[in-house]
Amino acid sequence: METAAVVVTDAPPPPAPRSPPGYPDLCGRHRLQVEVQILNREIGFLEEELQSLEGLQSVSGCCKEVNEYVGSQPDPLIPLTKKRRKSCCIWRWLWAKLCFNISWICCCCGCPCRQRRPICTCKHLKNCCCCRRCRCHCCRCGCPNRNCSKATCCRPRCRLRNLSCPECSCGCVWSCSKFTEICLCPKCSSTCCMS
Amino acid sequence: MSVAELKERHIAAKATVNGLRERLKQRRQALLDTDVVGYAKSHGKTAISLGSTDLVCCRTMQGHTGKVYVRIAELEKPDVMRKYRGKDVSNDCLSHNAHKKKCVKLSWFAAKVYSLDWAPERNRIVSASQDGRLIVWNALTSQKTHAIKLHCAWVMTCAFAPYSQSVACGGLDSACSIFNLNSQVDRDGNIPISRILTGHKGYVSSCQYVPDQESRLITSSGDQTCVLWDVSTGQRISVFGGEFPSGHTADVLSVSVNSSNSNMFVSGSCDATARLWDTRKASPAVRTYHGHEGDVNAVKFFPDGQRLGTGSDDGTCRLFDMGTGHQLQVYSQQHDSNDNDVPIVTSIAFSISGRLLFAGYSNGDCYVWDTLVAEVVLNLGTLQNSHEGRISCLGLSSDGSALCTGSWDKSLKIWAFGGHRRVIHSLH
Repeated sequence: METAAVVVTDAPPPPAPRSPPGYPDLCGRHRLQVEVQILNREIGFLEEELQSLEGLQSVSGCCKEVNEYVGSQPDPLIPLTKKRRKSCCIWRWLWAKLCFNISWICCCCGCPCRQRRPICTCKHLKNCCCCRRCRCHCCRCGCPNRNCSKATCCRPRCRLRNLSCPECSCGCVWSCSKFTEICLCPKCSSTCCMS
Repeated sequence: MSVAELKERHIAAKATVNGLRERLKQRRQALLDTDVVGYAKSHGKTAISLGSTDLVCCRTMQGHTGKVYVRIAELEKPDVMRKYRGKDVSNDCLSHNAHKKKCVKLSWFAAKVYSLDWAPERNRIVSASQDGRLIVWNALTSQKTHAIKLHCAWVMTCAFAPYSQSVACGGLDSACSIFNLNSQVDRDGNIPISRILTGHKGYVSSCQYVPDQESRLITSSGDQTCVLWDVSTGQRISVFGGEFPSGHTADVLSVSVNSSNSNMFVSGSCDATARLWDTRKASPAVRTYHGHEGDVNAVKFFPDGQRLGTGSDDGTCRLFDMGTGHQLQVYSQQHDSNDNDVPIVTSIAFSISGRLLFAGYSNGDCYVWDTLVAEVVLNLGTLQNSHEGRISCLGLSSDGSALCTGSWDKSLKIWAFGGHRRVIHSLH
């Protein structure tokens, strides 16, 4: 009995996963294109800015404008100083001598006498007084005591201009604990206090 | 075009950009013939003198306390216990309402003040804190007039509308909420939201109404854009930056609208620049102000509307000219070179004359700079009754007579002129 010949060939390679198709790197390419476009636009803006600098005024011109503006504006948060002529010094000296022992003359409003007004015995009083003589209304202590002379600066029908008006420093609006409302100051038409 | 060619073009374009930036820097340097200090001193200006009692704290407003009242009986409920687990429960028993039900006071988180804004008219202030509330204060009496509970507690900014009828706020919810102060409260006693402005893809860091326009609001965002909104419809009118060219390349942290020309506003960003925008044309930015070496946390226009100030993480404030882009002055304190903790500038404001620059810092200092001579003339942080924590925000009243500061110590303080007008003698 004849047997069939068996042809032995090489075994086929084992199955292997297929490699992904060779798609072009669109994400990286697209991103690069966008970035190049952005950079080109940036180049345009920078060239425009460089051109705009031609004929531009120097920094000193701008500084001059700042100085001029700042010097021309009143400011309620900055101490205002008034100059007094030297010829008044003699009168100040004389005044100081005369009122040395007159304790009811106030000190802190510009009057040369440095004594505090003794009437106000408020323990909150600190570098503050109200002068009946010069009616400077310079009290700032914020004392809630009704008897405190400070109250004179915040009474109804206060005639003083408030901090908004740079020519004075009533202090009523922010210093007075009794302050509840605003009215227009009859003198300078800025807000003032009235309780 | 192949990827290789694109890469070459990218490199070449980058080199061109860097070259142009360098030329710009040199050209500006050539125009830098002086600064504000140099000019002022050459014209005899000296620093103003402010004594320790010239600016005083005359009001302290505390209301952002994060207190919650819970009925004792409810504390035993599992969901309530879960909510307040780990929180500090006070032993006090307080009478809560007309029915005399006993409640426990929980004060369990520090409600830092993050933002404040003065009303343009009348002396009111709105403040925002991450206790989830906006509070409207009468600044003169320190009384609260409104306490608005927010849906999202993570508020970062607030603003008063021009005619003081509404307030706006925004934060980590990426939206800006508008509340009408005259609205009837709901049954929980809260003022309802009258409008919510959605569209930002990142947190809302700052917002400001356009002066004299109740329906126009500008916001800045962590999504690198600023947006001009129509509040009445809730729609975005314009977007500044983002996908459009010449916008910020990092989070935008602050905005300031020019009160002299309300079509212009400036923004400050984590990309260390400030940019000027024209609301009539959203793109590109009109001008970019370089100089800072860190995030620009605060921007504010100078009172004349022609200059702007900035405050940054690099610890400095700077003054720029709006039109030319020149950096006019740097305001910085000397620090030890070994000191890595230079306090950052969180907020700035100019006095109405522009002579004073108020700058709040992360260490609780609040410097008052004389802008002409770049000297610190006062530090509100060292005065009596000063804040005990970081100054997070500050602002000047519309008439320039008072400064309000807000802090992480949970309080707001008002500072006003406490001195008196001195008489000095002249020599002639």
